[in-house]
Amino acid sequence: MKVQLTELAHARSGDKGDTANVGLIALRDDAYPILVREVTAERVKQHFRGTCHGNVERFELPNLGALNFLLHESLGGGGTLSLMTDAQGKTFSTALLRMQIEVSDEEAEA
Amino acid sequence: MITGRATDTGLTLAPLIHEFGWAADDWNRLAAGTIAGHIIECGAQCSGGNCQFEWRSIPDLANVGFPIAEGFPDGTFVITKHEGTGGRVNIPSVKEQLVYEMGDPHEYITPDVVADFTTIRLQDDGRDRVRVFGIEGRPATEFLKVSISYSAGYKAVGTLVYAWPDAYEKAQAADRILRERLDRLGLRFDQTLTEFVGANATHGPLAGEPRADAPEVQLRVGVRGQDRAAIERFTKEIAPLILTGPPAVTGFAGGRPKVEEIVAYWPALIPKKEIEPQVEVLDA
Repeated sequence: MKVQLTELAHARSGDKGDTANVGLIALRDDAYPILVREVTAERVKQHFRGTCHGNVERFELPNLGALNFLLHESLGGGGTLSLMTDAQGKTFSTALLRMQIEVSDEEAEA
Repeated sequence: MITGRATDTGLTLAPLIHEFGWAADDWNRLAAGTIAGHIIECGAQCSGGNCQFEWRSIPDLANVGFPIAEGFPDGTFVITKHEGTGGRVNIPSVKEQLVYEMGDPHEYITPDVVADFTTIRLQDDGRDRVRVFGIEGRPATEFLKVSISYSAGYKAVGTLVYAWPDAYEKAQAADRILRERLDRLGLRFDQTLTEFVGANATHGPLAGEPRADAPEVQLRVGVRGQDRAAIERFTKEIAPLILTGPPAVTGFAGGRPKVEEIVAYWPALIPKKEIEPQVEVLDA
């Protein structure tokens, strides 16, 4: 079945130049492996199509139950060059939490 | 701490080195002090501010407590805040700040050390206390960062608010009219960006189609370019839309948009051996 990421994770995002970073943190320890399996760099790139014009990198932090995504070429040039309302990528966090992911019935019950 | 331009994390690391006498190549402890600095460098952003985790229940943000890092000689530290202040320090609030503005977590590079965020351990240490330990670091690189600023042209952003009914449709129509006028004036910009605040300014296409009955939508148009006169001209085209564009529009009390010079940022590296730090203490 499908669930929205906001059921399984919280997040915070920020910027480095024209790159947005999104840290995705499992709400419970047993949700972390689901994030690792479902929220791949490819899926995140697809999710942010039209916003992220570069590649997406993913890093794993099992010690924090977290994934870190770098979304390159996403902030209209970044910093003072950007014309965007969200030139610092602060709201990319909840934009990622809109994603629908696939979980098994067992995982949904846990 | 009195310093020129330094890393944010250095402000926390320096007093720890001073107090405990940590060596300049004690990489694990330097990494620990650096990560303590990362956690508290955005103030209350680790003690309840901008915290998504259970945000509704975070108490008394009007009186939010700024974070404290209590350091120990072995490199462990506790993140906390003063008694009687608002906000909250817990494992989720600290985790949110740890991932903020992070690049490759294995390599958090500062001039002092390369810290490894995948070694961080967190433990609940009572109310509004989180113990942080287990941190490892590696030798610093041969480079310092140079933050170069340069003039990169001009920009301006204009906004107008359209009210129900058909707020989004009217804002879209106004944008088309504005762009046609800018075009007829022969103005060219390096970039023109239109956003519809209340519809898609933050989440873009992920927000879905705006509601047809939206009570209001703000049109927000930005332009950027090298020619200051062209940007000035743009700022004079926003107010006329009120009398010569789609109806039920307001929000121009602030006057013409400001033209801003863009001072852009160019981060670069320089070998440490090229730099000789000097401190001069002047007599009062």
